[in-house]
Amino acid sequence: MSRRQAKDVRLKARATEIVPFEDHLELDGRVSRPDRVLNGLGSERMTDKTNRLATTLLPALVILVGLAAFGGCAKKQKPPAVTPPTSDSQSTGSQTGTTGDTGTGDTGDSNSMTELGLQDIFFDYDRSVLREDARRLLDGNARQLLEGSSVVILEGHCDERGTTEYNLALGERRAHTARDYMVQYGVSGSRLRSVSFGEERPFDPGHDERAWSQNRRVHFVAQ
Amino acid sequence: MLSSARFVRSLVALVAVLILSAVGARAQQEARMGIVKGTAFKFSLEVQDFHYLETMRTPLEGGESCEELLRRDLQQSDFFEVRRELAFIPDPADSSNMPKPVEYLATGIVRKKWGEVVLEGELLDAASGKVMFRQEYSLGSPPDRRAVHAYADDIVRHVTGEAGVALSRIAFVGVIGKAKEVFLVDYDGFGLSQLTKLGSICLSPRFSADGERLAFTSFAQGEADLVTLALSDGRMTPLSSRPGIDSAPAWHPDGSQVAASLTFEGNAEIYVMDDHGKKAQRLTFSPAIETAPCFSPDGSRIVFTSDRTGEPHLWVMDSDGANSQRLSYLGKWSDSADWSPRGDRIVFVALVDDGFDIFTMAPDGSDRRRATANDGSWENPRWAPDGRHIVAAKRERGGQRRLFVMTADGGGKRALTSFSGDQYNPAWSSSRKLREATR
Repeated sequence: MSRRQAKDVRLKARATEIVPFEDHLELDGRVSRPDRVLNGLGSERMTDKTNRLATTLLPALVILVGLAAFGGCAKKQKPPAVTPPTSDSQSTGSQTGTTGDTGTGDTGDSNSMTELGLQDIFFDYDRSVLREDARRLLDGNARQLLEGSSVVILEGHCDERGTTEYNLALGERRAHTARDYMVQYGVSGSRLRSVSFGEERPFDPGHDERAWSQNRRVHFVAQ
Repeated sequence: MLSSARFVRSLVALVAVLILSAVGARAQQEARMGIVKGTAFKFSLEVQDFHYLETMRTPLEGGESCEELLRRDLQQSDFFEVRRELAFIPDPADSSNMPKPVEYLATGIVRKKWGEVVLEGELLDAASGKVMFRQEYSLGSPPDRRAVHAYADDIVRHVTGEAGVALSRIAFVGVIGKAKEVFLVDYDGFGLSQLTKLGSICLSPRFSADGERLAFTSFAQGEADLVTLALSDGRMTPLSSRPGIDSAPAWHPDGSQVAASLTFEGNAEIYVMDDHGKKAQRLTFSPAIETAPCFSPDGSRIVFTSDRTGEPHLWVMDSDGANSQRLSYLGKWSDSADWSPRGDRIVFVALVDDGFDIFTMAPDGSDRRRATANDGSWENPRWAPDGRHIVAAKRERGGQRRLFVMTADGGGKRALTSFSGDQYNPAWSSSRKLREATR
């Protein structure tokens, strides 16, 4: 698959994710982003319309997309017409919110560290073990962090199933797992803070597996 | 031969009589308490239309009359079968005037006294005509629903010896704008008030046993901390701001301690601390998640959630952390236990089918009964102070959560509040003090 094809696939997936989601932003009761985060890294980039997009990807495309991003994507290209994503991309819940021009999906998540290229990682239901795709993404995240000195917050999140209290703990365990992995990779533990929002800040406000798979995540935020 | 046979027969008869009378007395006692399991024993009670002397029949907030509200309170108490007959003032001297099948008569006179509108309530034993109690309530103008609630609770107490719930209140987390705040509402959905305005995330409110304080989780400082709120003046005090997550507070029945799930030592464990957040004592030691503690009403044991077997389930331990043992083996996930103030049941949720349903069980895990089925997914069931009612949040498919009140067997479900936003994490107040303090 050429780089251009990979980009098209990504943009398609991205467009289908975003449209209903931006509507929700105005309607639901999600807690606003903390000011400290808004003032953090990449805040200017986040105001760019083209950056207010989330992307859903086939896991097999993750690496290709990464390459495409490093290759420099066309920033002005309009997303193609909305087409339904494949069932595969729904079920994997893989998502890059961070590379190059793609920015984060501005969806109630705090800003991702767009400049550092840190990617969200995803988990199975009621699990905090790192899936294969999560390990790959964490490897990339760790590599990025090794080059800098900034402090990063790892936000653990859960889907809405289960109880408030258990999910708070589960979210923290996910953040800890990701943190431990990156520390093993060589990132200084003093640069990695973990917090948990449990099920209180869903990325996708929906109530189905597609939304849930997006919400069981660790999200990276500039301190 | 004959005489010995007769002797044996009479002995058997005597033993039978003794057993039957013992069983009968016990049954009668339990019946009076209205706690016979699996039966729907109710006292029959008639609330007559009130007399209004020199006062207008001003409806209460919500449009009901005082007597209509009293009937509803008593019906919802789950102790009474409430009847309504034509109004008349019974003559206690003439018992033939009494309707026979009714056990109790509740009457009311609304009138002015020293310029104030008062409700004079009187409960009569229908058979004897004896006055069980007579009490005056300040109804005020416009009339106050809580004056009628007070009369209802007095009737429950005089007839059953137990505290009613008509004056109790329920705290919950409601989503308003972008924030999750703590709200307080009367048990019947009236009198909604917003207790916090932190513009952040508040979670898991729990009343102290005296009803004067709430403990809850707050993200106002950026991560999960514990805070207490005094209901008398709304003042908030930090309880625990340790590193990591401070969550799931639960008061010791004597109000001197709070159990909670803290992660400052790296992993979510149950701790108890004093009510200023000091002297934290760790009770659990496992690499698993331990959270959602709740004390038994005598303070000797703690039920909690742990996933130390791989899936989250309920465990129980002594309040010093000893003798930890598993309590539930139901479904893939059981969680969010609340110990009845009567001590005899634990309510919890379990993931058995598609969603979570409400179950109750004895404190040793036996005698499990299901309260909900095929009706959305339920969270955070919490006992009323009477140990007969439950409030819980239901998430309907594709929708937001809504609070419902029901009896312990899941009967008589009613939506609690007209609050329109997502609403969850309920807690039911326990004492009369709170009701007066927040008035």
